[in-house]
This record gives sequence, structure tokens and C-alpha cells, in this order.
Amino acid sequence: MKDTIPYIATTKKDLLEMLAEIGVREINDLYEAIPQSLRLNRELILPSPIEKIDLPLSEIELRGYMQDTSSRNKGTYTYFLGAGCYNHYTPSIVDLFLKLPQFYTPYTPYKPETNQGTLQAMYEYQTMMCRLTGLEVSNASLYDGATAMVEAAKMASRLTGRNEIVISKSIHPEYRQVFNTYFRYGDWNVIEVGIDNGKTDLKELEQKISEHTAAVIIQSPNFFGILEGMDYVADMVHKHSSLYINLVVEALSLALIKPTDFGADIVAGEAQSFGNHMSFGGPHLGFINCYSKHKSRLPGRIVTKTEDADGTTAYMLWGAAREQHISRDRATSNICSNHALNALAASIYLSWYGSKGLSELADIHNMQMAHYAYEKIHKITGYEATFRGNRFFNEFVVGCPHDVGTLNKKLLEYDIVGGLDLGRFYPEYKDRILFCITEKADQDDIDELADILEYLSKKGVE
Amino acid sequence: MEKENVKLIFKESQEGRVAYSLPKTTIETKDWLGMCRRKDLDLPQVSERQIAGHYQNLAELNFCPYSEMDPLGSCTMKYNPPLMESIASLPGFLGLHPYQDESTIQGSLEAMYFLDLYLSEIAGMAKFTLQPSAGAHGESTGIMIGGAYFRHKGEKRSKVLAPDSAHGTNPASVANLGFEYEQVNSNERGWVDLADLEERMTEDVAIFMLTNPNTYGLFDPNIDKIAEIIHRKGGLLYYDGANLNAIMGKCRPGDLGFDIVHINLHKTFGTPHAMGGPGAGPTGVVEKLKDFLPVPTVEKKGEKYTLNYTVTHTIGKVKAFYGNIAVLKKAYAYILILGPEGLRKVSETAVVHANYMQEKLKKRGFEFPYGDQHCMHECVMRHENIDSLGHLLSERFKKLQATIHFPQAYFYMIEPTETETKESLDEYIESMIDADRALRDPKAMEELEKGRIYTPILKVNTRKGMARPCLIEKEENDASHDMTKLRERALRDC
Repeated sequence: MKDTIPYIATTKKDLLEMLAEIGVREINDLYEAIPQSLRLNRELILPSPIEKIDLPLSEIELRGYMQDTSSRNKGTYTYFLGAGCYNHYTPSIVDLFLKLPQFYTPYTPYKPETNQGTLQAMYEYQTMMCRLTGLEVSNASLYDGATAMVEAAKMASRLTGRNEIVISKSIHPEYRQVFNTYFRYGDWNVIEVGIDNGKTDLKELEQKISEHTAAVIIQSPNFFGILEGMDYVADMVHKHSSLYINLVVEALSLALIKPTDFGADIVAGEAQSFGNHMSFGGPHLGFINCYSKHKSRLPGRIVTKTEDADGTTAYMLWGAAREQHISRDRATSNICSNHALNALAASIYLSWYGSKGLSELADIHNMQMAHYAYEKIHKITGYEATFRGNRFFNEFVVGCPHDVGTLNKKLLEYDIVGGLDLGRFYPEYKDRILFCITEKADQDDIDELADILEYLSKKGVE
Repeated sequence: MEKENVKLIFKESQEGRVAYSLPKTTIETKDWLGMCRRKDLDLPQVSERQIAGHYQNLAELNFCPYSEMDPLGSCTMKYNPPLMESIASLPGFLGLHPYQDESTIQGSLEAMYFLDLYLSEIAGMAKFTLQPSAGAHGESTGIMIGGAYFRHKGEKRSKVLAPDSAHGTNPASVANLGFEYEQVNSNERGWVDLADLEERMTEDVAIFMLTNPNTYGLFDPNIDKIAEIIHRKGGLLYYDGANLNAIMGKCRPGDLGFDIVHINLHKTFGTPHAMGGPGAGPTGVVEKLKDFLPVPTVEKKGEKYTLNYTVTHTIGKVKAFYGNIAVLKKAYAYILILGPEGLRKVSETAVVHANYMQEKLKKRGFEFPYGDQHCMHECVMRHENIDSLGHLLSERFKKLQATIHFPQAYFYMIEPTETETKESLDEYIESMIDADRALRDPKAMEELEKGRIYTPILKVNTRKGMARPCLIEKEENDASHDMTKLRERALRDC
């Protein structure tokens, strides 16, 4: 038995003094409220993941084990895989500030006087997001894009008093899965609109919107990388006084496309691309932006600028009446913990790139580079162009002459993570592959990929 | 001139300053967007040195739990070991894509597999989903699992109950999923009023949500009777794991009769609160509910770990991908370094600390409405002038304020956690005594006011902030805010 436990400073002497102060003989006297028969009268059984070393591990052993565990993952590839999680570069300064104890240890800034740093950082984040989307109010983060989509739909329903939501099949399949999970509970009508040549089928959409529609949700760039909604979608939606929710999953596209230019009422989605690592899928950064007139239904924390007793600029949380700790079952959402640290990453990231850098990154190193890759790849036998005639950002779909899974296994031998097997989510698009190009892949990497694909198309992948 | 502690980053911006650098490229570019391309983008144009200065200065405006004990009741603000941060930041974890081949993610799957195993043992559950991002997200998941279970059984149950002392997230989670929320009274001892529960527990009730220890910091000794009442009517008992830090290795929710459990890893398992998150709220269930868990679950087949998408009655997914993996890694590491005995001692020490503070403060004249009982890991005090007391503690004593006005108005909920030293508990107690004295004795207040102010600002004008929200900084050269016109132009040109 060990006498000392990491992270506990209370010595035997302290313990005896405290028990004496409390007036009990032993610790178990404090647990008298737990019925005897329900107590656990043994130690917990926690088998060690490491052979021959039982828990607890020392810091050295733990570090060694984790090092080993992380290297059993293989993350040193060139990625051509996106599909809702993007391999963008994170500047060092982002990683540094995310590790400052003043940022990563404090709680939600309920008490403004002791949390001005957090509050101002969130206010700046809200401002940057609104400048990107063109809207007027941003919450200070949600869990992720999928849950942001759910929250945005509920918000639209409250604003319109309607319970029907129209969603496009070109939305990320896992987002739709999350959406459908939530919307099985309560009185909802979720209507899916199909795909026409890689985009939401507008004829079908027009037929499916009605005076019962609370919101239409369209993702752009959509799951296939194609830009949508830059036509009369908003007019169609607004004709029925419904709300147009533009879902953005690759937030970097906002550097080139402003959703309010095309009539979005609410922009919701995922901003992982702004300085947040892929991290095997989380934590990422959900967000919702809206117009000021809709703000009382916006879920999540919101920071306002105000002043202190002395007239000095100060920041505080706004609109607690929307939130669960005040309004309980009448709250706009149950969200409490959010993803503030990921929002901080986004603000530092956006300051680092600035207007000029973000445009250059999005345009040259993502969009142009993706088009370069598309030009090279779709000329290879078997990788024929598909969903032609659309604008795309940094992802595109081509055919695949092999079983995509087998091809991807083969590509791993070249230290390449290939594109997504579209058949995984859309059986009708079996043998098509979704590639993603970010700034982490340069022209040489793309040339190499094309060469390998060409070679394999001749030689086969078996 | 606006008086500011730290200038907004937008005000530091100057045309021509940059922090970024990007690789050179000779790639041929084309105008793919035409007039659909946005016309304006106003982000800060600053140097990296300015960014460093800005965020350093902002950091210094925060009271940091590393400097001071943070006794925020119900939030378990224990020490967050830097070891966990460096583990979670290993490149082999950070750089991983959720859709890459299973053969290349074995390490991460192993960590998830073992974390599920550990949480199941600690909570006495059959299996956990690691997907939920927070406690409230876990609540939604648990309620949906319950809902799916009754739907599968062909039972229509529309209500969910929770005691009046429940966290606000409970009723909010219930209502947001279209269930009817009904409140169960607490009795004068702070426990669930059994007669009231008995009356409300009908066959229309799907779930009773309970935090135990509850938000008064008390372990409800009638838990066996509660479980019996709920189960007799075919309902499910839900454990809000917000206060699990009191009971690890002492008793297990599963043994107490709970069917669904969420655990806040950012509370009990030492992962940082990060200004509000990310946290993680894994949700566990008993055997009969296992087949309703979200997909995928992590399984071990021979020597290989795999993601299993075939869960018979799965509710679906509650989040894209698999969960807040970086947070899960930290909690996993926390369990590995503490082990079974360590986790038990964490809980025991937390309980001793809270009782010590309760007893000492009681003896110094503070009112503890439930002070005739031993508390668990937190204690609740009542004070007529609690807003001023809390503020004074921060402003004049550099102490972090505990949770105020919860679970009832004028309450002050203190959770010292196990990681503080006895000295820091004593110091906090002394500050409370001094602050309280100053509130009662004008002379003492006068003395105090001669001293230093520790907060970077004075009391915030919250009334003004609420009434006149200013939620973003307007652009300096804001020329183009006629949305309709801009849109018309864009449409015409695309």
C-alpha cells in the first residue's frame, strides 16, 4: 500500500486534525448516509493495459505507455481525407496559448470581475465569426457542427412557431444521423431532399417547402465539396417565411464566401478548421451566428461589452434568461459546458492569418490547389470526373477504378491517407472517392498522389 | 476615450502587418468564384508579437485556479495536472483523422476501450458511450436511450421527473427532447420527499433523474427506497454524475439501483474546465439498455480493437465522429496514475475537506441549513448578503467565489476538492470570516477598503449589460452593410 497519492496533499497528520475538528473517528463515519448493504466493500478492479505493471502507474510509466500508445497510431501520413474533419496547419502560437493555465483551467465566466480575459477573448471571437459570416450575433461556441445543426433547427422552430425542418441529403451523413437521432423525440417532421448532380435537388426542394416549414438547412460547401445556395434558394425559403440555415462544415470557405451575400438567416456549423487539431474527431468547435432580431432564441453563452462601476470597459455574459441555469425547462437549450477553449484557438488562428492571410490560405493553398489536383486526377483512367459543372472549394469527387477500401489500404504503403469511400455513406455512389486538399499537401504531394494512382490504375491494387 | 484594461485586438490592427507565412507556390490560379467571391473581410492585421502580447495580457485578467483554490460548488474545480496536457498533445493523438483505416488507430481505440472498462467498473454499469461532449449532452443521450427503450417495449411514457434541487440542465434536457418535466419536492432534510415521489411516479413516467450526493452536498440515504419506487412502476433511474467525486470506490451508482449514468470527466476525472469547455460526458447503462447505446462502440476482437456500428437498437449518433477524444485521453491517464486506491482516496479526501470547512465555518457562526448532517464533497451555507460576501472575497481577498444562489437563493455552495492543502482551506475560511466581519462592521470595512483591489475591474454594471447588449465590435470602416443590395448584386453576377 502506498502512503502518498499524486495530486493529494493531505498528510496523515492533516487528516487526523481535520477528523478531530469534524468530531468523527474515521473517514467512514462521514459516509454513514450510504446504506451499509449498498457500499462497495472492496477496492475497484481496474485491470492494467500494460503487461506486468499494475495500476497505479508512475508519471514515468504513464508517459512511456502513452507515448507507445500514440505511436501505435500512425499519424505521419499525407492526408487527402477531409469529409468534415480537416487537416489544416495549426500555428505554434495557438498551441502555446491553449496551454496557459489562465485559459485552460478556469470555469465558465459567470463572475465577470474575475474572468475578464475569458470574456474579452470570447467577445473578440464572436466579432470575428460575425465578420466572416456577415451576421450580427454569434454564440461563444457549441460542441460541434452536428449538434450546432440540431440547435439551429430548434432555434428556427421557436422563431417561426413551426415544427417542420427540411434538410438536404448533401449534408454530412453523420450530421444527418445526429439530427435524426434528436428529432425522433418530440413532435417533429423532418423532410429530406435528394441530390441532383452533387447538389440539393432544387425542384424537389421547391415542392417540399411549405407554410409549415420552419427552416431549410443546406450545407455549403456540401459533403461533396460543392458550393451550394448561391442561387435562388434563399428566395424559395423566404417566400414561405421560413428561415434559411446555411450549414458550414469547412469554415475556411468563409474566407471566400460570405453566407449573407446569399440570403442566409442563420449560419451554423463547425469551425474546427480554425486552429483546432483533427484529434481523431474531437473536441472541435460548433457555432451558430444569427441576426440580432433572433438573438433571444440563440442557444449557448453570449458575451456582451459593458462597463464597470468606474466606467472602465468590461465584459460579461448576456441573456442568462435563455439559459438552463435560470430558465430550466423553458431554456433555449440544455447546453452548459461548451467549447470555449476551441473558440479561443479560432480567435488566435484568425488573428494570426488576418484578412490577407486567410484569403490566401483559402484561395491558393486550398481551392486552387484542389482544382490542380482535380485536373490531374480526373484525367487518370478510371478516375472520371463526376458531378460536373459545379463550383467546389477544397474537396471533390471522382470515380475510382478500384474498390476504394482496397485502394486506400494500398495507399497507406506509400504513407498516404486516401480519400473517403463515398459508398460508405451513399450506396448509390459506390466506387466514387472524395478527395480533400489542404495547405498541408503541396504540389509535389499532389503530383506524387497522381503518379501513384496512375501506376495503380494500370497495375491494380490487389 | 474608452478606458480599457486590454485594447481589443481589432484596435491593434494596421494595414500591412501580418503574423502568418505560407509556402511559395507557382501554381496557376483561376477565378473560380467570379462575383460570388466575397468583397470584404475584416480580420485583425497584426504581427505575431502583438498577438502574443494581447493574449498574454488577457490571460492575466483571469483569476486562475492554479493560483487560488476554486471552491465552485457542483463544478469540482480540482487541480488539472500538466502531464495530461502533454499526453493529449502527443502528435500521434492530435494528428489523427477519424476516418482513417482502423489498422492505423489502434492506440487510440485501446485507450477508448480501457476508459469504457474503467468507467463501467467505477459506476457499476455494463457499458459506456464516450460520445457526449458534456454533462448536459450525456443527459440528452441518457434520456434518448430511455425513450428508445420504452418505445421498443411498446410503452408510452411522456414524463421525466427530477427533484427541485436538480441542476438546471436536467429540466432543460428533458424539455428539449419533448418530454414533460415534473419537479419532485425535497423534504426539510434536503432529501427526496418520498411521499411526493410515490405520488408522482406513475406509469406515465419514463425516468427519474437524481444527483446523489445531491446539490445540497448530501447523500440521500433513502436511495434504496427511491430505486424501489421507480422500478416498481417500471421506470428508469438516471444518475447525474456531477457529484461523483464524493463516492468513487465507496459505492457505485449501479449498485444503488441506477440504470443510466453520465459522468462529467471535467469534474471527477481532473480534465480542465477550459473557460467552459471542452469537457466530456460519457454515458453508461445497465445490461438491459446496452443495445440502445449510440454507435459506434469500441470492441476488442482478438488482439484488435474495432469500431462497432451494429448495435441492435441503437438510438443513432449524438455527435459527429466518436467524442471529445483529447479530453477522454486525459481522463484515461488520470485513472491510470491514480489507480483503484488513489481514486478512493480522492473521494475520501474531498469529503473530509468539505466537512472540515463546514464544521469550522459553523463554529464561527456561519449558517449551514443542513449542517446537522455530514456533507459529502461540498457543503451549502446560507448568507443574507451573499452577493456582497462573494464579491468582497474576490475583490479584496483574491479568492475565487464559490457557487452562489444555488440550489436556493442566498445559498453559497462550497466544494474545496481533494487537491487543496489544509492551509489553503484555512486561509479561505479566514478570508470568509474577515469578509463577513467587514459586512457587519463599518470600521472593519473601512480598514479593508484601504487595501488593495485584486480584480482588474470594479463591480460590473450588469443591469446595463443586460439591457443594452453590445455583442460584437462594429467594423471601423463599415461601408457595406446594406445586405439586400449586396445580395442582389451577387445573385445577378453569379
